[in-house]
Amino acid sequence: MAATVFKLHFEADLSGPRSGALTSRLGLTLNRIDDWDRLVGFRLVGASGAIRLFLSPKSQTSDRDNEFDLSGTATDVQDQRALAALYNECVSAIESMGGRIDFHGAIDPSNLGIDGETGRPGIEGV
Amino acid sequence: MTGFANEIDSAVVLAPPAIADDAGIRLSVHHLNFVALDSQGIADWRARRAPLGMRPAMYREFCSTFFAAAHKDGLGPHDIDVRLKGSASVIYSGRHKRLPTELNEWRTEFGKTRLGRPAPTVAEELDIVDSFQRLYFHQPLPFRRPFDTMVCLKIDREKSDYDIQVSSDLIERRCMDSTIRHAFDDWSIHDPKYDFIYDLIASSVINEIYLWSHRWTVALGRSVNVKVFGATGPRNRTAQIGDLSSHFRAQDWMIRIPNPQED
Repeated sequence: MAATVFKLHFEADLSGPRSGALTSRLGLTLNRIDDWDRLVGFRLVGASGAIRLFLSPKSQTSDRDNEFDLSGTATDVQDQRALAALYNECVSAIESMGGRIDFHGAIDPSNLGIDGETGRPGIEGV
Repeated sequence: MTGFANEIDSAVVLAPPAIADDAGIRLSVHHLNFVALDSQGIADWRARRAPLGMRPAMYREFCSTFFAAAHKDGLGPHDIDVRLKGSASVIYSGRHKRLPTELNEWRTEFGKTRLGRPAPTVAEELDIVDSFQRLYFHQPLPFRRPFDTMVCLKIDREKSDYDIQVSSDLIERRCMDSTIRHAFDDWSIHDPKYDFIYDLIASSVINEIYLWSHRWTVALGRSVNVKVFGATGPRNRTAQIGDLSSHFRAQDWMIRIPNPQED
């Protein structure tokens, strides 16, 4: 069963070249956005994991297009750990672009008992 | 009137119906050439051996790998209804998308396909004008956009995508139970306008199907977008959103496990 290792909701101005700078830094493949598409880009991690950047459902309700969600989900434990090891890099990439992360309600690797820096099992283990 | 007026030409009877947009503008060889489609592609599309942009062998692999991914997500073929929507299955885009023929329309459409909506540069506008002229001399122009037209016009930087509509009661129930949506989040799991379950939630529940779409996006060089709905699919919202309503239709292109005898 898949597990979401992290989910970060953030606000950012990704107009013009700024979106390219963020997706490039995160190593995302850009997805086509049209009509109702919400997936901005993705990055495959191992055989069963991916980092995904979405236009946030919140941007739909507030009619703004500057709210995003970045998630990391994997099926295999090994790929969940690989995703956990990328968590800090993702936080850093968002913040370096002036993005404001709402950590209230965020999911981070510690929820699965994984250390967000090394990707290894934390104190609670997995 | 001659004595032959009531005779019917067998060739005419057996000929497949002309392909035309809803304004009655027929798809011509010039239009096909403009978007780099060939007659084999159209024949495969007519027989539903493959959607536009794919050959039959590749399409069979596309389908079989989808159901393998669904199996990994714990879904059998009877748990899901899978359809291909969009211009790859019907050649033309919906009626809400007119073929843009003027500069201000090109600028608007250019921005829509790019996050942040930047306007085209002068060089990019010249490229669009140049591309459009190759189409312009093949009148009458289609009223709607044939598959891949926008990328060939250099308005869109991406080719037309494959829209995969997955409807499932089981997935919907799993999404409702998903913990990715926090208790204080004030949004529902469904988009209020189009009914789909937000990708953020759906991808956490059917990770393997989304991985399948990512791998095919890379392999095909065109986006494969999955949209998830409850078992009965999207509601009929034609009155509210016109052609954007993606409710089940009798002529929908169904995605099924390929028959091994066809290999």
